[in-house]
Amino acid sequence: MNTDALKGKRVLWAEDDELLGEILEKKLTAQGCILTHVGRGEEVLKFLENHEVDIVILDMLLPGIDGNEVLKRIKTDGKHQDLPVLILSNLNDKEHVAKSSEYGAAKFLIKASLTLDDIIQQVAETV
Amino acid sequence: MFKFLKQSINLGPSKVEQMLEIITENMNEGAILLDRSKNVIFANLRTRIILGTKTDNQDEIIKAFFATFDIPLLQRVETLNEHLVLTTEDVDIDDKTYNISFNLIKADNEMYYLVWIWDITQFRLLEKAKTEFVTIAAHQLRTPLSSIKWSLNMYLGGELGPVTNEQKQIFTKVYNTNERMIASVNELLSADRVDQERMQFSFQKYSTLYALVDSVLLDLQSLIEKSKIHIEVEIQQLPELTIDVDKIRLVFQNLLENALKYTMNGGTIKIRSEVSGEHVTMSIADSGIGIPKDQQGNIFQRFYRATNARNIQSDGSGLGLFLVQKIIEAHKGKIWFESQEGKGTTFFIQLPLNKTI
Repeated sequence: MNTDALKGKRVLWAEDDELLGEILEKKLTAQGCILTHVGRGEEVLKFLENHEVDIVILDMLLPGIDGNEVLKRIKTDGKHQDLPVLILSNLNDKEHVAKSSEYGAAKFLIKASLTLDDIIQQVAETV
Repeated sequence: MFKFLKQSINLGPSKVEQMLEIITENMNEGAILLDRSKNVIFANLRTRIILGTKTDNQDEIIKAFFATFDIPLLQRVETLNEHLVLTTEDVDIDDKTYNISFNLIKADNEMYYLVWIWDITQFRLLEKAKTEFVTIAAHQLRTPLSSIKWSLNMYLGGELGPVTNEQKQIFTKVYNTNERMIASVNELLSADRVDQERMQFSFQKYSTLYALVDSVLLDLQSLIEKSKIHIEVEIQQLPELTIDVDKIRLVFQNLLENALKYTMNGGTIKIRSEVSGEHVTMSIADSGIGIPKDQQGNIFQRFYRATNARNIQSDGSGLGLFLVQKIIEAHKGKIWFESQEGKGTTFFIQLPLNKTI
């Protein structure tokens, strides 16, 4: 699948699993995204201090602070309340999903349930 | 029981009383005995500890009971009968969780209410630990499964270079195997949620079971047409039942879907009702593959699927009948079946008439 919707879009993505990271990086770059891939929650916040992005994709379980905490801090830092944040995780228990929605996540996606093309489409719809 | 104690250990009445006191005062559950007018006759030590009172005064105990447990259940005790026990939802107090049950007891032509207070804190903690374990284990399994899935997505999509037909064939099978593993993990999570949510029921009076069955059949219409299975429905006008309509709908949906899935094209499914005494019995009889005799004892178990069912339909979850049984049990009903391999299966559901649940 190829969509132009993501061409030139700046995507900031936090994922600590190496292989998942590598694959998604290949895929998003092939769509023409300008991708910044980080492995820790804090790095997302640090990057946002002096960079503009179009969308943030967060894993839930990250080393350091978790996806929901990163989401909450992004949404309450006074600058990024309108920045779309997508949660892409395999941890979808009720508590985490409820918190993500409360903190303002645009979507909560389960990695194992989606193909790569599904993910590209979801990102394109959200951005 | 007094008589039994006296005879069996040959003690005098005062000794028996003393022994019973040892038992009641050292029980792990709180017990309160009330007379028909709801005056406290007896409250054991555990009750007084839970209520945080040392008093023997009956009014004080009742007062302490309602100060601790803010529950509206006592109004409902009027609906109790000798076969029915009322049990509260979980009551959380400080860091403890309790269940309270009300029983009506008849002894020497007198009626009494017996109230049990169960401390279920440990049980709930254990349940929570189990759920956390399942959640984390599922997450740990899903992450490598996602990596495999996405890598194969790219590979099969030709995004990592050209793929020969032979490679495509084999790796599509690998992909499907991986998808099955993902489905198994998802089922593990749903099964845990069934327990975790301890299904909430909302009962109402209902008398048009035939309409309920009709609406399920309508949902399954395309499946029925495709399989050319002949459906016969003979449901008479039934007396009023007290049921959770959505849950009973789920029961019929599961049983009818199973009947359709495991009956060969051109077969028949018969749905019947029968009222006898205090029950209505519904039956769903199919001319399908049947359940092998040596596996009949297992089919209500969570995740269990009979071998012949797995051969026909590889992607069932093994959760349907497990759920169905839980729902029927919550209605104080019964479910059973008769089956012969290669001939067919008949499921029977028996629901009580005019009972407050």
